[in-house]
Amino acid sequence: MTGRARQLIAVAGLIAVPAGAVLVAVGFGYESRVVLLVGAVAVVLGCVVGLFSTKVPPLLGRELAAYFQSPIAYVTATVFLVLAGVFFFSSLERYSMLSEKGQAVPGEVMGGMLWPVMVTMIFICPLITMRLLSEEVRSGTIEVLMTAPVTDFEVIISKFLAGLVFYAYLLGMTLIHVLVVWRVGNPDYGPIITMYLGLLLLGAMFLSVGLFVSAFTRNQIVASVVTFVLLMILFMIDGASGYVGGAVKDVCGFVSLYRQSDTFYKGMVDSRHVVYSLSFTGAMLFLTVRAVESRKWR
Amino acid sequence: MIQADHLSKCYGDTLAVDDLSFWVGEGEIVGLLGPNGAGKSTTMRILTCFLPATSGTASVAGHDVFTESVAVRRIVGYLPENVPLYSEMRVREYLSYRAKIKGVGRRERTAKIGSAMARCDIGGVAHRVIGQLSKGYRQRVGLADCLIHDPRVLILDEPTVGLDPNQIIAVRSLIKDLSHERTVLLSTHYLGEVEAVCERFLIINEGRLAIEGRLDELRDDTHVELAAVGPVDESRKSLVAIAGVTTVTAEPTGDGGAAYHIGTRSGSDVRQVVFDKMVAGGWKICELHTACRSLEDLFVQVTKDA
Repeated sequence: MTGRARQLIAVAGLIAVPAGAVLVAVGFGYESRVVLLVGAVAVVLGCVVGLFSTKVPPLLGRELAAYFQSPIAYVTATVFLVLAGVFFFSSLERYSMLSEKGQAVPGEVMGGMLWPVMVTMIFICPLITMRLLSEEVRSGTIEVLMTAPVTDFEVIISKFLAGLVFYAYLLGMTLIHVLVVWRVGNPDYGPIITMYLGLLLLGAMFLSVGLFVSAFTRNQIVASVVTFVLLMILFMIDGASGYVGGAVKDVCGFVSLYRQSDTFYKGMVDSRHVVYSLSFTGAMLFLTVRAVESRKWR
Repeated sequence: MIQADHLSKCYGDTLAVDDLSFWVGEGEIVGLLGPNGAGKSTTMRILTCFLPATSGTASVAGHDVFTESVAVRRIVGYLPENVPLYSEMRVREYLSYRAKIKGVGRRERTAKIGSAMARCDIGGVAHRVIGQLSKGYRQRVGLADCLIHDPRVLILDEPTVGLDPNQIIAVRSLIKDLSHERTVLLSTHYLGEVEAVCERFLIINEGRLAIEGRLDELRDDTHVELAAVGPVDESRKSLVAIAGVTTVTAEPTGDGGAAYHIGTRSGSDVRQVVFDKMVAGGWKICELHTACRSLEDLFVQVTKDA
């Protein structure tokens, strides 16, 4: 790609993102789903197009290749799919029992999976992110990487996106369960879509925490254990609200991922939760860039 | 081309580089020498923008390494010590990835990868997994990566360490070949390497520049080595008297004679006069030859003193 084409693409991306954001706000204000969706698509496309004008595609390509060339990917995927299958089966079983009594809620059969899948992801995400930066530091390849003409931001965002793509790949394989539900019944797709959206947003948060932690240690085991502990705290901080009062209680309740997952399960997209998880992810990525940069002043 | 001004770098309390200033001119090939832990790698890491200096400035081709780091990284090819590579990738795949992130255009990419592989003689392992390659091949893959974007400046940290003698010769001739169109700064432990490929050398010790010089100057700085059997004091006196001789040191040997180190003014060859004097005195010559000051002597001298 020539420098000029690259610049044009970057400009297009830079225009699309704020324009899309404005559309999202307008759609939100006037309660127009179409405008809102168009805005959201514009933001996402703008980001993707913008990233294409940087060094992200080759970096991302390498990270993804590294995932699929290592046995960890296949072990992780197998463990996850076995667990997801078990959860789906038990959810299906419960659903069919309720359905005999005439108490079943359409769509709940998939919704019943949200919870256990989310808990599983708390175990899986540290495995996805542990090697991202630790391995570069341990093997010394960080030196060749950071002396190539790429910025710290490009490197971090590529690693994050690689993790997210792998995560989406795991999630995507559970679509087979949706296929089963579609074959045997007539589910309500609303809650299913919001469930996937919720899991994707939660995954982005989990992965950004994992990436951040992996910037601090050259040991993959340490990175994954610390990530796991942090995610657990983030997940269960809700429990602390029973012991504190006032603003702290509210914050604990809101920050907790346990509460976050609730609305997606019910088929709602609460904009507060979307904004929360996106800004949380953004903040973690920013901190990760700073953490990688910190080698320069340590 | 490369300019370092009063560079200092601290790691916590340890001072790795201490007020180091030097320059490398365009098209020059310069050897950076020093004992282990002298600060060679740290200096190179500062020049390649991997680490910033604690104080002082450095620039490559007029770009400051701190404020215009991406511009510097675009024109520098850097081979770090121990050549870290992604061991799960294949050689061609790795070089293609590196070419992409170094901004080599799609059209010229294949040609550039091909020529870098040919130059480093790794065409035969193009489809092998890097993790399974021998040290020599890994080193050459690293070198090919350095060259892939046609950098004007090459910074090589111990490019021949761990290679067998044939490979060392091959890499040296490659470096020499490259230096026709590029500026090269290389660090090494092997003094012979500097003598074989470099025009100029910098010796650093404990983070400071101990001495710098040109190798041809070093070669001009000749003296005469003499080993003779005979009364030491007397022969020494007669040697000092020769025109063109500046210093004479004598070290007695076991056989009743001594080994003499005769310093001369540059350009004067005193060997024949020395021979005549020895014969006139009736003393027996065992050895007589000219020698130039070796880099090794200089290295030991400046790194031991400090």
